[in-house]
Amino acid sequence: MSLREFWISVRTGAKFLLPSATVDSPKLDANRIESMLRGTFIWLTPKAVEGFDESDFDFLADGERNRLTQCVNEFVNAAQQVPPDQPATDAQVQAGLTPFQCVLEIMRPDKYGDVEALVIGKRVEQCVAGQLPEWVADLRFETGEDSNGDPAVWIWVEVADVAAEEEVFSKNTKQVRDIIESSLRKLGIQHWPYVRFRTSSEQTATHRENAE
Amino acid sequence: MSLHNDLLSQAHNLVRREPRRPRQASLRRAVSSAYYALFHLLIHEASRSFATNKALRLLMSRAFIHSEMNKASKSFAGGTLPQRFNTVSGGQAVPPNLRDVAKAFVELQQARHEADYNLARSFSRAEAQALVDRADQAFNDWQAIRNDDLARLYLVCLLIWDRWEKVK
Repeated sequence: MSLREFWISVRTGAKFLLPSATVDSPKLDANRIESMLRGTFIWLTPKAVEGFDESDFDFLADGERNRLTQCVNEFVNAAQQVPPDQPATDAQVQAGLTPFQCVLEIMRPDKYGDVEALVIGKRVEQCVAGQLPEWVADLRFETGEDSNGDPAVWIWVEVADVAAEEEVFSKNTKQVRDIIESSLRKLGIQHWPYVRFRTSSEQTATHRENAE
Repeated sequence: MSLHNDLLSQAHNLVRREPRRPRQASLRRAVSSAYYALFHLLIHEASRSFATNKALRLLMSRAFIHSEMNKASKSFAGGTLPQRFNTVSGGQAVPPNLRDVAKAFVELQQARHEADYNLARSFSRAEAQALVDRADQAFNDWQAIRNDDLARLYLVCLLIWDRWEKVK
């Protein structure tokens, strides 16, 4: 399946960015991505986007799919300019960095733990757009089998610290859980949902510990 | 106080045990206690429902199997029951409180498994607190629904779901 191949290619190209489990992985924001990409150039090869086929991405919103396609094409053009037996020049690195950064910002291997999680996550996020409270900072997705062998999706909800205060936390978690579970039903996603919560402070502390 | 209430209380204490830097041991045991609180609540209610003799109730409570309870709970959490239960349910949907109890059971069982065995990632206090709160809410939901016919059916299903699966 092309989507899986593309996913593996991008993750392999970016694996130096992600040393740990999805929920504990540092967030890949634009600054972090650029900083890490400038540190090593193993990603600057057409192999980093091998397997891409636009028709595999019908689960993305039109705008995002078009942007991904454009970035992949630009990256391939840039990467093909680098001779296999010579280091890349600064200009070649710059030409490849922007489109590959764009690919990573869409594919977000820190946020979607596997291919199925990417598909489910993107669809859920489109479905719940505008419904989640403003104190929900981020969602992360991972699929697998639960302890009883049934297909499952874990959805990690990062909330602002203030939303986790004792008087309101129980009500807030129920509200978000109901929205997410409703979206999964509406989308016909059969994976059993496990919705978990972390505060922004907790995520920051975990990422700092993992970076050390 | 009953075992299930003690376990829930213990879960609350453990999740708040270290105010500044919660230990993984405390958070994971809190999650585990929350699951066993709900587990013991349900088997207590089931065995009381089926047997008046205390010795028989204690014997019965050993007959429950976690995986079987999980399957029954996933069915009730889905909202509609297999056709074989129509003579009891009248075809009606599972009431929201009962669905929430069943969902909480599934959620907490999975969380207990991870807390006890998955060392590949950490538990945070917020995550553990949310799970303990889930158990709390399930206790409240159960209190509201426990006398409903479908609640009693749920208790029976927790014990013999696999055998009923074989009934056409």
